[in-house]
Amino acid sequence: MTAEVLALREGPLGTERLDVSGPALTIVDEPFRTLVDVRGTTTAPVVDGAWTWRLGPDWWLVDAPASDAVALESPVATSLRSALPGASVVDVSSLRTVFVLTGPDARAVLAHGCSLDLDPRVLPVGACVQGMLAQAQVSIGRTDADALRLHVRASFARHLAAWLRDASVEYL
Amino acid sequence: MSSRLPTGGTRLDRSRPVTISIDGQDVPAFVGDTLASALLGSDVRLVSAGIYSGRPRGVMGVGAEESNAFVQVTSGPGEPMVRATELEVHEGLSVERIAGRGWLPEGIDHTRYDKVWAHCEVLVVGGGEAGVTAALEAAARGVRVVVCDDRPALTDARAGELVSHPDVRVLTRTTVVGAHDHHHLVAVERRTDHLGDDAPPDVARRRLWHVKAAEVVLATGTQERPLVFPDNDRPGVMLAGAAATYVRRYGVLPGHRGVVWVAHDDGLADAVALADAGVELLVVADVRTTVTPALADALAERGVPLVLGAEVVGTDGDDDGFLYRVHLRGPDGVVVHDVDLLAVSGGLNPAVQLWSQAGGKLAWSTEAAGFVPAAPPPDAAYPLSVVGSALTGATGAVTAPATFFCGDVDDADAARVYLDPQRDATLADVRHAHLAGLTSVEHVKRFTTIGTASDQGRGFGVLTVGVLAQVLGRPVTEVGTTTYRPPYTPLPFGLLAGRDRGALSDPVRVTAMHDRHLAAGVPLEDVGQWKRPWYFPQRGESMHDAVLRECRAVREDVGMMDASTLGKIVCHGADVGEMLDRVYTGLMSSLKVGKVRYGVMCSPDGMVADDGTVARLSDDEWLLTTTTGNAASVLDTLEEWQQTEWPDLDARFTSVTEQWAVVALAGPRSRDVLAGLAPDLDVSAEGFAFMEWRDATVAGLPVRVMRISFSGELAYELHVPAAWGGALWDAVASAGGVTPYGTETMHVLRAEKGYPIVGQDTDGTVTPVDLGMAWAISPKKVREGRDFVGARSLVRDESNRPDRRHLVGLVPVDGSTAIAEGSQLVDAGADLAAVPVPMHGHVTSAYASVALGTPFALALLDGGRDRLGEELDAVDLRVPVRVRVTEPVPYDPEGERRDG
Amino acid sequence: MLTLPCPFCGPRDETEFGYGGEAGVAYPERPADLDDAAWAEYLFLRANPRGWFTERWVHRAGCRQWFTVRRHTVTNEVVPDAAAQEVR
Repeated sequence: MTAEVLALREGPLGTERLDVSGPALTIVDEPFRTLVDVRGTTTAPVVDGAWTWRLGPDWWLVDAPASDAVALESPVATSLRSALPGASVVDVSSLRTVFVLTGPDARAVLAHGCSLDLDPRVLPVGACVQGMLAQAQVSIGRTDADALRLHVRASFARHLAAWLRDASVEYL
Repeated sequence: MSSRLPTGGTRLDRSRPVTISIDGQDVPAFVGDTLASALLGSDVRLVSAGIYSGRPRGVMGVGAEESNAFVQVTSGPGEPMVRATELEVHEGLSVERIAGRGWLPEGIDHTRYDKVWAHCEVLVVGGGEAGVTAALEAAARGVRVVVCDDRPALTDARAGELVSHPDVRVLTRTTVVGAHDHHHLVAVERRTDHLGDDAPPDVARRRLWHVKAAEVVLATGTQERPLVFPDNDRPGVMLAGAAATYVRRYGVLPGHRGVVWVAHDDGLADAVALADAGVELLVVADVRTTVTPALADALAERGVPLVLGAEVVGTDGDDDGFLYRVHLRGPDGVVVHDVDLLAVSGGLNPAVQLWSQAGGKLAWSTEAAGFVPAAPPPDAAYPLSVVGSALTGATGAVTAPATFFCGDVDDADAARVYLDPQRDATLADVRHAHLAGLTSVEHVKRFTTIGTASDQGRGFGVLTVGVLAQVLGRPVTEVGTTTYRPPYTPLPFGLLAGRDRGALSDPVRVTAMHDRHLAAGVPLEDVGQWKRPWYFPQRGESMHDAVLRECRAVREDVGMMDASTLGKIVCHGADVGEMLDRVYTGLMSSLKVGKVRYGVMCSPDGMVADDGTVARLSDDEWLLTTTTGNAASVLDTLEEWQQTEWPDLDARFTSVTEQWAVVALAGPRSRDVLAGLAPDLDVSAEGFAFMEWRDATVAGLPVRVMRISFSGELAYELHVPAAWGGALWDAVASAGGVTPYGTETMHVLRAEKGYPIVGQDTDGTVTPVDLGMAWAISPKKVREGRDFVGARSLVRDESNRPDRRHLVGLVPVDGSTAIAEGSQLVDAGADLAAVPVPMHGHVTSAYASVALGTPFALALLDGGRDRLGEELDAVDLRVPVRVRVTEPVPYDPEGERRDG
Repeated sequence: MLTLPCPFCGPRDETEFGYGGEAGVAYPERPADLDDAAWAEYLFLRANPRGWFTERWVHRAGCRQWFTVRRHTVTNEVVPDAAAQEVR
C-alpha cells in the first residue's frame, strides 16, 4: 500500500523534469525532498544527511532526503517537534521544491534575474540567502564552490524552471 | 570620389570589406567603421534633415556628443534614431535618413535582450589611461572590479593585464547610462549589434547591466564642444577633434580643403593632425590672441597660416545646402574662403553627467572653460571620485574672450545659429526666452527645448549656458547648468524588459492539479498570478450553460473544485489564541481543538481587510485560511503586529499555502462520496459536525478533512500534502458522478448565499457592519472592553451613520434581465441625461442563478438595509435595469442545507 | 533603487522590502479611551519632514524582520537606527 501511494506523488513540475546541461552547468530538480521549516530557535536543527539553512535570526529550513512515509507530516518534522520544544516546526516538503545548480556557470545564470551577491566570498559553503529570482521569492544555499541549492515555492516552480531554461541558453 | 586614405585607421580591418546602404544607395565600408566614418569615407555628407527647417545635416562629431547625424536602422529588427557615430557597420546594414525623428519599427522585435546583476567593490567608468590605472590599483588591493567602456576595445597598453585579472570584469561596447541611488549603476552592453546576420541567435543582442558597487570611479574624460555662428549646421561643419579622430581611427579624410576655427590648444593640435593627413588647410583661426608657441610653430612649419583673435561670422551653402564658403573675420576684416570642411572646437566639456546624476555638484571652471566636478554627493557611505586630468579639467589652456561662445549676431542671423540641431532650436529662441522674462537655465531649456533631444545637450548644452550668460549679461557661474538625469544615452524599452516578456513577463502560479485542468482543456481564469479553472465545459457547451449545470450539480447532487489557492498560515505558540483575538473581530481563543471558526479581519481603520477560517490543530498550533488574493498580506499583517507591537506574545507564523492541495467537495451527496472514499471516517452529522476538522485516510491518502461550506450546501474541504494533490483529484473525480466546477460557479454559489468576496464586494471602505456581519464581532469582547484591530474605529460616529453603504441583494423586477457588475444605482426612472445623476451605490457581484430562477446581484447601497423592497435603476453603459432591493442572502436564508 | 540595511541579511535592494512608514508611532495603550479626534490622529497623521526621518521597513523577501532606519528624504542617505531598539 505504501509503495503504491508513494508512486502517486508528483513534483511541482508534474511529469516534466528540469534538466539543463552545459559544459560548465547543470540544473536539475529534486522533488520530494523532506523540507521542514523551523522557527523560534537560534540553534541549528540537526538532522542526519540534511542541509540546514538559516533563513532568519531564529528561522531555519531543514533540507533532508526524501521520506517514504505516507503521512500528513514527515517523520523528520515530527521528531524535530519533540527535539525542539517551544519551536515552531512545520513540514513544508510540498510547499517548496528544490532546484540544484552545479558548475562554474551556475552563479552566472542566476545573475540574469537575481540581485543577490552570490560570490563565494559573500556566500560561503553552508550559507544561505533569501531574495527574489525572476520575480519569484527564493532561498539559495551554497553546498560547494560550484554548487547551489535553490528553494522556491511550488506554485512558482514551473515559472522558475522555464526561466532557468531560458536564462541558460548562452551557457549550453 | 573617396575620402578614404590608402592606409591607416586604428579600428579598421581592411581585410574585411562590407557593403552597407543608406536610402538604398550602396556604400562600401570596412569592419570597424561606424556608419559616420563609412559615409564620410565615401563622401556621403547628407545624413539627416532638420525636423522643422528641413535643412540638410551631416556628421558633426564622432561619439555620444553627436547632435546631428541620426538615422533609422531598417535592417535586422530595426531601430529608430540611431547615432551614426556609434553605429558599427556590418554586412547588410541598411539605414534610412530621417528628418529629426524616426519611427518605431512595425511588428515585434524578437531579438534577445537580457539583464545581469553584478557586484563589485570598485566600478570604473571609462577605460582610458586614467581608468585603467584606477582599475589596476583597485585590483591590486584584491577587490572585485568592473570596468565599463563604450568603445569596441580598450586601447591602453595595460588592457591585457586588466582583462586577464581574475577579479576584474571588463565590459567593452558598454555605456553606463544611469547612476542611481546607493551606487546602483545601469549600463548597456551592445553585444552583437556589430555582427549583423552573423550574430548567434541565442546570444542576447544587448544586455542591461545592474552594477552594485561599493565605490565608483569616473574616468569618463571629455566631450568636445563646438563654436557657433550663423549657418553652423551645414554638412561640412564638424568638430575639429572629431575630424582628426576620423583620420586616426578610420583612415578617413573628413574634407579636402578646410578652415579650422578653435578656442583651445587641443584644437590647434587637431589642425596639425589634419594638415599632416593631407587636408589642405587654408587658414587656422583661434578666438584667442595668444596661443602656445609650439603649436603655432607646428602650423607654420606646415605652411598653414594662423590668424589670432578671429571668428567665423557665417557660411554659405551650395545648391544642396552643403558648406562651400566660410566667412572669417580677423583683425584685418572678413575674408571668404572656399572650403568643404570647417572644423571648429570651442573646448572640452568634462563628461560630468554621471557625477551629476549621482548627486555631485558642478562648478564652472574658468581654467577648464567648462563645468567640472565640485562637491561630491553627500552620502559618504557611497564614495564617488573622478580620475583623469581631462575629466577634472586640469588641461584647459583656454582663455575665453566674449566670442568664445558666440559673436555679435543680429536677430535675423540668430535664427540660423543652431544651438540644438536635432530640435532645430536657435539663438533666436534663447533671445525670445529672455524677452519672455525667463532667466533660469532650467526654464530656458524647457521654453526653447534646447538640450531635450536625444543627445540631452551633450553637444551644445554647455555652449548654450554660455550663450545664455551672454544674453543675460551675467557670468556663467551665476547661470549654472541644468541637472543631468538618466539615461545618459537612450536605450530601447525592449532592453528594460529583458527576458521578462511573453510567458516570463509575470510569474504564473499553478496548483498541484494543474496538469489535470490542462488535460481537460479547461478555460483558466487569472486570479492574481494564479491560473484557476474557470468552468468545465462539456463538448460544445457555452460558459453560461456550463455554469448553470455546475451550479445545479452542487445544489442538487455533488461537485468538486480545486481550492488549493486558498491562503493557509500555520500559527504556533502559547499565545496564538490571544493574538488571534486581537486581529480577528471574533473570539478565537475559546476555539476547541478539532473545531473551525469563521473570522473577519479589519484594518485599524475598521474596514474589512480579509476573511477566512481558523482551525485549532492542537493546544498551540492553529491553521488560518485566507482569501486567495490576501494570503501574503495577512501573513505580513500578523508578523507586523507580533514583531512591532506585541513581541511579548508567543506566536510564530508560517505560510503553508502550497503545502496543501485542497479539493472542495460540495452538495447534498458529498457526504456519501466522502464516506465511500474514507470508509474509516465517521461522516455522520453527529460524528463530524459542521465547522469541525478530522485527519483521515481518503482514497488511501493522508488527508485533513474540514467540514466547511462556501456554497451553503453540505460540503467538505479535503487538504492533502500537495505531492498527492493530483492523486486526490483523480480519486474524487472517479468516485462517480462528481461534477467538477470552476471559479465562476463558486462565485455564483457563494453570492446566492450572500457571502461577500473581500476585494470584490468590499473595497477598503466597508465595515463588517456594512456587510451585515455584525454577528462576526464578538459580543463577549465588546462587553468586556477587550480591544481588537479596528475596534476603536467601529465605534466612531462616522462608522455608524445610517446612510453608510450596506451590502444588499438586487433582483431584476422583470425576473429575467441580467444586471451588470459595476452598474451604478440611481433612482428608478432617473433622467440619465440630467447629469450629474444622483447615485446611491453600485453593483459589486452579479450572476444568473438556477437556484433562484432569476438573475441577481449584490450591491453596496446607501442606507441599503432600510431600503428593502425599494425599486432602483442599475445603469450600465447608459442602459438601466429596474431592480428591487432584497436581503443579501437570497438562497436558503435559514441555512438548512449545510447539514445535507 | 535604494539599498537598505537589513539587520540580519545585510544590504539589499529596496524591492525586497516593504515600507512601514514613520517609526515610533505606538499603538495606543487603550484605544477606547481616545476620543475620535485623537484616534484619527493615530490612524492617519504622520510626520513628513524634509530631511532626516526615522522609518520602518520589513525585509519581506528575506528574513521577514521589521527594522528601523533613519533616511534623509532629500539625499536618500540611509543609516541604521541604533537608538531604536523597538520597531514600532
